[in-house]
Amino acid sequence: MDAPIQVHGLTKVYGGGFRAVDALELNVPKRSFMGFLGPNGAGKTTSIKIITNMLTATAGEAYINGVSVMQDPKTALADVGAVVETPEFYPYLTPMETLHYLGALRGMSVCETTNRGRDLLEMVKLTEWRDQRVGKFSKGMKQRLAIAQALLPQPSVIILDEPTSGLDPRGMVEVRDILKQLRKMEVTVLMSSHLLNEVQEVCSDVSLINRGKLLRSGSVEDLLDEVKARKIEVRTMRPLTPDMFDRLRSVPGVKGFGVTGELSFAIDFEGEEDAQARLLIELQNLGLLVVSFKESGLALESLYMSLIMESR
Amino acid sequence: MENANMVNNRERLPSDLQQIVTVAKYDVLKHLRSRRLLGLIVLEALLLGLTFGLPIALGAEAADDPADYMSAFVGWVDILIIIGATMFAGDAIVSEFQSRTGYLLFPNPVKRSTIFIGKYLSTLGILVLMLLVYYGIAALLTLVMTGGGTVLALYSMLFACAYGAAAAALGFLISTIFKGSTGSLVLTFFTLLMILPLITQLLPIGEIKPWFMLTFCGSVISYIMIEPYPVDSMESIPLGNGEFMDYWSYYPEVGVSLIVLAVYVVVCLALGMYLFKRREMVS
Repeated sequence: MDAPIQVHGLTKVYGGGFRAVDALELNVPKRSFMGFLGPNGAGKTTSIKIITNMLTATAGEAYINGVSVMQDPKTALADVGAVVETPEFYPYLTPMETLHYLGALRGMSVCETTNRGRDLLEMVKLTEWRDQRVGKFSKGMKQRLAIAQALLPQPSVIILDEPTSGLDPRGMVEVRDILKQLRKMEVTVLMSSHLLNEVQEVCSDVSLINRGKLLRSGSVEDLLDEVKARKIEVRTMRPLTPDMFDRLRSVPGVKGFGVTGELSFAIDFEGEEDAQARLLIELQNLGLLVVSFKESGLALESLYMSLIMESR
Repeated sequence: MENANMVNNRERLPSDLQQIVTVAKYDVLKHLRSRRLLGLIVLEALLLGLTFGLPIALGAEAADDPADYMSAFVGWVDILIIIGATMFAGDAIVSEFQSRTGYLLFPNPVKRSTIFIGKYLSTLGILVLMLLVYYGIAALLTLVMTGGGTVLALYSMLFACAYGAAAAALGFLISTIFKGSTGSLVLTFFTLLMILPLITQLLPIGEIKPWFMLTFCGSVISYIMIEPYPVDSMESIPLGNGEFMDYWSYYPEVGVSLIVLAVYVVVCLALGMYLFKRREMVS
């Protein structure tokens, strides 16, 4: 069992026969950052709750680092840091006290927890709040603290359930920055999300799920290769005028485009990087003064939507 | 590096007993920082103050015998225990689900049984501390007013601790069943204050000694202050027309009551732990 997280035939049936998870098979490769993607109600959170011992599976098995979560959850979760849903904290504790509590449950010494806690609170920008009781914290602050507590024991496996959910734009940016730092660490991450651009930006691998079933799994790169057409979003200082439309259509690789704003448009494009570079040159030659030229997550969205529609 | 850290995290995982102590410690901290404990301390102070000061203010003659004098204070102990058990046990488990702190605690490498026992021990610790303070101050006031003390107060306090343990266990069981804190607190309070005592009062009408009822056993706290210890007696109540109704006055036996309380503790905790292990963290 090489993959740190393995799920075999995982099923969860609620009263009334509703199948939230349906014979799910999932392997999260070592040191990958896997996006667990699906619409609301797909079974992502249910699966994660089973893997982290908060729900009981109706059938199937889940293993973390080779240990069955069902048989021996204490050992299975020993090297796991998790943020599931939006956890609430004990309002009577400060962030540092919370970290000490959780550190003590894992056998960390007071000294180690203090040092590690200080570093983590700095990383999540909560240093000045470390001795304030958590009851006064905003949602964004609690979410950042949740990530800090997940990283406390330096786990080899991190499980995150929609970590940017419910955050304001600034909060989302702050959390995504933390996630990008995680990507540089030698950890295995399973992160559920319904935000395609977030997954495409942060994850190395993706597993698509709907109605409790796995639809597709693989590296982001491989999945994007399946979708030949990409969407490129362009912002300019001068507007794209109708007399430029024909010239744009004639650029090799351009399959179509749509104006999205006074100074912005999106191009459906098929081609490799060299073709994209030529497109950029052509846009500049049109005198548009390109401000921003980037591939959007909508390529993954195309695959995602087609798989979701197929599964219905 | 990763494998070494994984082994380290597993190897240094504390034993269940060590984790129980950790959970208990932080739960005690919760109680110490809570308004509930402050409220209970205020109530204790009020009861002690009124029991001590009101007779003096009204010019009533105080009892000379230390046991008699102490009995006035002991009479309030069962209500203190009911309130204490309600406040510290009544929502101990359900709060983890309702307030969503379970999402923080449950994904950690700690068993549900560990959390349950740790929380129970913290509740018991707070109740015992509360009783120690109450009886300690009452004993001091008894010494001041009568010039002496009584070992019966010590027996009463020990029995109060046993009753507190059983009441807290019942509170924990109720807390694992209910979905909301309010319902759990209300049911714990009314079960201890009204429902069980009501059944205890009704059973003797059918000439059934309610030796198995929790609150009947709890009344040893007060009766143990009486010397000699009261025994069951029957009274014939005239109904008129030469008819009589026999009415039994039952008194709990100390040894039997202690065993019954122990059974309540074991059964309530075992059932509560079983239900808590099976309870799922659903949105």
